[in-house]
Amino acid sequence: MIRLGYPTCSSCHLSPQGGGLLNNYGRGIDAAQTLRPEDLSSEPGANDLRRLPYDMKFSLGVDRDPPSAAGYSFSSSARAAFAVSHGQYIVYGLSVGSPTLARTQTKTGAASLRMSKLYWLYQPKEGVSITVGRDDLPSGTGLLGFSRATTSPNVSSTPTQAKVFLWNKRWQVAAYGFGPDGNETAKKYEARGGGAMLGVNVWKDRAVVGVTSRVSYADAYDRRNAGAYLRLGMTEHLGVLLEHDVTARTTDKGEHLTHVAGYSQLFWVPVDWLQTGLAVEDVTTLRGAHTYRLTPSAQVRLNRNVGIAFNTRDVYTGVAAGRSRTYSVQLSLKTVQ
Amino acid sequence: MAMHHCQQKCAAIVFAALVTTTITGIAAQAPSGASTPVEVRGGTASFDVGTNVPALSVHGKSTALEARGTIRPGADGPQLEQIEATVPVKTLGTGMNLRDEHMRKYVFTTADGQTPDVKFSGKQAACSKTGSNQSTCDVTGDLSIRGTARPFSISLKVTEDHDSYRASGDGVVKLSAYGIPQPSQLGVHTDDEIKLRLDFTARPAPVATTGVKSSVKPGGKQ
Repeated sequence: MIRLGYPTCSSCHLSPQGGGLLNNYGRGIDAAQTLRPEDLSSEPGANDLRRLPYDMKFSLGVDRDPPSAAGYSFSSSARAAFAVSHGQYIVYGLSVGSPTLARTQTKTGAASLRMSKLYWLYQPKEGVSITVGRDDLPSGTGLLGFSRATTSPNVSSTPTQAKVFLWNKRWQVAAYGFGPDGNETAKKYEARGGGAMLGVNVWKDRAVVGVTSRVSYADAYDRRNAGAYLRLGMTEHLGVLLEHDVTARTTDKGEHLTHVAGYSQLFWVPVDWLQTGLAVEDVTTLRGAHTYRLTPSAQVRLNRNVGIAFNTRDVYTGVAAGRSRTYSVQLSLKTVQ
Repeated sequence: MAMHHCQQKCAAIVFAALVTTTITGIAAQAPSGASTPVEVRGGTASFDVGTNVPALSVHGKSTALEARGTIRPGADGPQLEQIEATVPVKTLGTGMNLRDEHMRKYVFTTADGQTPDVKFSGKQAACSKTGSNQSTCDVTGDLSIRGTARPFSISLKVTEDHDSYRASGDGVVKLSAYGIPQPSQLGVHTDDEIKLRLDFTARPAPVATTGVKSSVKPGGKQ
């Protein structure tokens, strides 16, 4: 939304971190950007406080990594909130994922049920928000895929946390502390730490630059992270998202590892209902391991409820491992209330 | 017959070209104090308006600003006169179709369903020189929205560049002055005060076009 002059997520989302449930205005914006835009302001009670805002999403995905057979997967997610009062919510999110199915496979894994989020959100006034509970950690561009990719799979991506957001037209600040939530793969990965994020709206509500930092301590390793990000809308159709991190780890064996991770996305939105992008991710370690991923994508929103997304990922993981290319098509049905 | 028609038409075209060249040349070399008709095509008119949500503003623009007027060089910089400017409402956009529809409906549409262009009319502007080729011009006049004219002023920074003038400036429009309620959508409403910004280049107008028509008419068919 930065291309349209939305420098913060709080205009449309309940949480200033973005990516979650939408407020009334956000629902209107969501419904406006489809092939068949709808004007929600004419709905009865459109401006009223919604006591139980929720959204649900069902996705059918087809992935193909030639020469392997295509894999079919089904996933669903639901998020709901209970409005304790105006500006105070209990938010809950869960997801259900099916194992990937393929015609050549005779055995499959089990379906997974995951309660990913549960937190209390309190916004005492415009520009101040407090969150306590399990949630994604704040990130500069709001790209959860990137933040999860740069986090070890052994630790939880939604740790228990307390965080404060402060923002106005110029500044965006987040500070947080976090601890284990029970989703770690072993006790030694239970991390405790804190972080902060500072962003500045530097150009006509269309350019936000910022820095991030995070430290965490666990029996398996200690971690220090610093990064920078940019959200830039060059025109109302074209923009860029950049996030780059440097992470230093010290393991329980005394090893020091440094990772440099970068995410760059150029996006082009020729019309409200069509979003295209070209993303490049790059992760290197000082030991020489290197992963590079190129992802062109396109997303069509047919109406408020139906969307189709296509992407192809070209993953390069070093000379020995070679590269692989995956094609993915996803049909999504969602409802936002 | 066709040849005869062509002869007349071709002669008119050649004559028009000669007159255009001559008059444009005269305009470019106009002595200090002589007025030169100028025009603006494809200028940019942009706006920013805040809302009741602190970090949310609405931005929009049109790149179809057109204007005509005269410029008279003076010791204190160019003097602008007889300024007429127009921005077609349909060319104003915010980047989201539904929001554009709302804007046209709630801000620019009259009670009888018309959407007249936004127009500005000013008799003259006082300029003062701020550099060798730069001036500041305080332009005052009437700005019409929904066909209702209200006083409007804008300070333009003008830079002379050979025979053209680059100008930009900021002004403020209040919706309440036009009796327009602040648009509201799902709990978010805009402020009353709208910041306007203009960016354009004025070039000598092809005044010969008018002259050619009058010159050619007596001689034959058009």
